[in-house]
Amino acid sequence: MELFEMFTPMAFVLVVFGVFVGIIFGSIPGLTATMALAVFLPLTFGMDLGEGLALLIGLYVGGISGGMIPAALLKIPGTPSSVATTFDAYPMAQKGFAEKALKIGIVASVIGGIISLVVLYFFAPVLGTVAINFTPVEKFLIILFALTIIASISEKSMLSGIFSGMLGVFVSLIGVFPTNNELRMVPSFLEDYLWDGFSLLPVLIGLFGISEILRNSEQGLKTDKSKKVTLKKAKTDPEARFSLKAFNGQTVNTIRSSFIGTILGILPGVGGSAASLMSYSQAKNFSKQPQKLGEGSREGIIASEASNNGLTGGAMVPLLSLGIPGDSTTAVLLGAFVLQGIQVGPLFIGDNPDLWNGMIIALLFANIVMFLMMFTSIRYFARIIEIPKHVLFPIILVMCVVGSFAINNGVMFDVWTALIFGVLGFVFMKIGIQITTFLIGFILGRDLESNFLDSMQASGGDLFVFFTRSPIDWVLWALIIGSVVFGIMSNRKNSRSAPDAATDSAAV
Amino acid sequence: MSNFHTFDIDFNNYHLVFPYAIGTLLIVLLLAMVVKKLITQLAVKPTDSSDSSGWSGPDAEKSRFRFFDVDFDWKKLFGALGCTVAYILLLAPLGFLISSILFIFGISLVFKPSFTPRALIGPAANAILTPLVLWLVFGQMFDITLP
Repeated sequence: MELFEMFTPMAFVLVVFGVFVGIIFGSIPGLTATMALAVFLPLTFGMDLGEGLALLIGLYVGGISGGMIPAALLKIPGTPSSVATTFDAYPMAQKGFAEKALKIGIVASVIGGIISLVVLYFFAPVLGTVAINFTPVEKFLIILFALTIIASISEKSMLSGIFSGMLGVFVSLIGVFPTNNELRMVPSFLEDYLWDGFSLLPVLIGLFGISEILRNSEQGLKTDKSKKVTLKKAKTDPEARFSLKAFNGQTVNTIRSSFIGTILGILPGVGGSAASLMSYSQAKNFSKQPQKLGEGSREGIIASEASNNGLTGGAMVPLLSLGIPGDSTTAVLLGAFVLQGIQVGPLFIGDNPDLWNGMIIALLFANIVMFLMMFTSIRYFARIIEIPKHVLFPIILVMCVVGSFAINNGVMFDVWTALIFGVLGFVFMKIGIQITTFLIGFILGRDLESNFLDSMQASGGDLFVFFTRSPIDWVLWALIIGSVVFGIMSNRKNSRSAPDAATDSAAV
Repeated sequence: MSNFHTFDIDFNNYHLVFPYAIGTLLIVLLLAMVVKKLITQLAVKPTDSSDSSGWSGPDAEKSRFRFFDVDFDWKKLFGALGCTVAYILLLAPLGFLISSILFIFGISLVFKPSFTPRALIGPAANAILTPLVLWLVFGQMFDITLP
């Protein structure tokens, strides 16, 4: 099999390692799946891309799945995508069925992961072939759409969402403009350092690693153990034992939730927390006994966990076919491609079939490993949440520093960049600027600019070119306007019904 | 400019188009946000003060503008920040291993202040082992440039 030429034994080992570490990061509240990838990204520097991606994909799948452990045992989502898991898994654990709750979650996770993988496998190449014919006009509109949809789905107000995205675009413009080699927005004493602007990876490490740690230290590193539920109880009770019967009558729910996760993943910039909340509310809408949700119903656990793992494959669709990351975690994956000098975009799958197959296998394998690992030894993983943060955080900080230093082969300014963006990210959380939206804006800003200017040059400066070039443009405009309208509508609805539902801005 | 929908800028100034455009947009958005905030506040305040719940209105307003958490741990926050800055400054002169050992030891004490000899064993072990392992894995195994 030529597939296995790309996917070396080393890659298998790395996936296993990645899933394991990912579960650890996922299950410690305050450490997110995104952070796991950002911290380990520099390690992939010394590997070839296939192996590096194998490690990162393992971290991604493990991180998203690990979040359910504290969600069930402490009522704290370990990673933002497990918010909705707390609603039902914790009540169920309180009744003494913690292990059952977790195992239902694990099975739902693996199903969600595999469904999204299938969608990725068949859908991304199609989208890629369509996107090959895109001119700068369409590319510009797609990026615009990406920015509006993030802003409209964001948990806070639409206005601040757009602001965050635009701020990201603005910061990305710092540095030299490649076409005419003119420097802009750089104070003269920093010219040497900021010639190419801020590098992506230190920015990522700062925003997702350092700022989270600062936020946690502000809260005093407290873990609230008063609510903790132990796993040991009720072993004799037959009802507490997990069996696949828990999925009787839940097929539709499982599949629907997986698809909700996948589709939300495909929309750029929509994070896991949105996916799990949305599929939870859908499960409630369609449920025969909606009043049971929230009191320890298996339906809720299935909905949340199937959808957040469904996200993993979905989020890679726009990344691999358009070069636009689907969520903050895939933004870090994009960083891995950048690090290795590989262009992601419409041509990626066609040009790198081995890599593409390798990624699919890694994703499949990561899901299987996650399932086996969590299912057989959930008891031991449940103890991870007892690792004290004051031991872990120094280690993570050192890794953040090492990582940002190593990325461009030893540039001290990158370490400062990471620290600056760590502090900025911390401030952003406080004043309501959304970090994910900012990051997506930052990543896409340069493309937005160059595609705009290219279409201007090609059309002799006619601004109407954005409306007249082809019917695809109208579709894209419809999507952009639709997303804005949707954003305003759902904003209205939210502010009217539940102002208390304000999720922490750290929920990326 | 020939007509209103024509984009007509000299090639040499292309690099300034986006910074100005986005900058303007940001200012407009910022103004919109400020206006919106003012409007909601003006709209909320009278109803709040007339509300029977009395003081909860102004109190809630106050907490909305609070930057730090209510009883935030300033020692840990600024301690962590200070340690990290010192660490980065010391990286170049002291080298990776020494500065990291100092850093982990220092920041562990910030995160968990305890000074009995027994309580110091944990952070000390962590401080010595972590940089060593990182140095071995990153520097030696994967050949990654360390400070």
